[in-house]
Amino acid sequence: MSQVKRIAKWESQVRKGVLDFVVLICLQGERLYGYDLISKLKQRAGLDVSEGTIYPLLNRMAKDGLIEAEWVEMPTGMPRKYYHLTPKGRETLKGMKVAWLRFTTSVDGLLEQ
Amino acid sequence: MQRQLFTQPEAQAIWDRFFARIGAICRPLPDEHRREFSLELEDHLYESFNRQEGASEVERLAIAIEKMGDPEEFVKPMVADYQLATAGRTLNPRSVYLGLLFNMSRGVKAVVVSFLYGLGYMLSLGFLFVAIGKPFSPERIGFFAHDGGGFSLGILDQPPAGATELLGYGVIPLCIVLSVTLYLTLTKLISRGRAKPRGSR
Repeated sequence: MSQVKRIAKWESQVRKGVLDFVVLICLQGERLYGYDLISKLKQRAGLDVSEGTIYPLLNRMAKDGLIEAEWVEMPTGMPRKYYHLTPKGRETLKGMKVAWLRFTTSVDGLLEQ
Repeated sequence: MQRQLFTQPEAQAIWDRFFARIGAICRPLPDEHRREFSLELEDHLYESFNRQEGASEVERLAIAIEKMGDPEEFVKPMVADYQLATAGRTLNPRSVYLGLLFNMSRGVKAVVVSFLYGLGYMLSLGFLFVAIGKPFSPERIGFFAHDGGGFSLGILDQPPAGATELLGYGVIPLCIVLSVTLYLTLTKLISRGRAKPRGSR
């Protein structure tokens, strides 16, 4: 495996690992629908999420009680599913932020050595 | 329900085919769940289509579908999650089977894991066969101690020469307990350990 491919694979794994975290971050303070959420992940976090795969993830997070969904009728007549954080999701996000800061601080410390 | 969203019939046909494919993959989901998932994807794909730049509806839709990804890759893991969670809740063998089957779409590692779970379930079924078969062929089925050393539990082709059956009909409750315990343990494990959907590329 070439160096470039190795780094790309590692980066992809890191991104996958934080996807739950960044979805919760994007949903804090606002409700979003799938397409909107993917756009935010791309624009704000630079995460090039494969569009279809976000839905099984949202589904699982809803089942785990981290997010909730509601259907809203759009002017076009098409219904749209919006997601927002639940109290459990907010608590989880709070814990994740602490863990993330601890992790990045320790890695940064290693890099500075 | 198929809605007319495009002026180009070919674009409409591509749309209908795409959602027919998703519907087929989602068939093991309950109707309501399947309908909601399809509606959500329709909303997504239509918005994505409207944001694409292209000469024709067909081109724009093709780009939107490509960005959405292969339904085999993103729908099947969701069906697997649903079936495995249902299996953990209801202990329904059909959900176990569908969950393991759809879980294999996650890749080589998932295929191996599903296969190992499948072997575990076969073993559970084997214990059940022993319990059911014992009254019909008591000399060939049971828990045997062999003269040369060693033990065997199960169904043998021939009544083993020089072997002693140790449990008699006591093998029936033993095998029922083993079968049920193994089934429950495996089912709870797969429902708890269902893998995360693949996220980013």
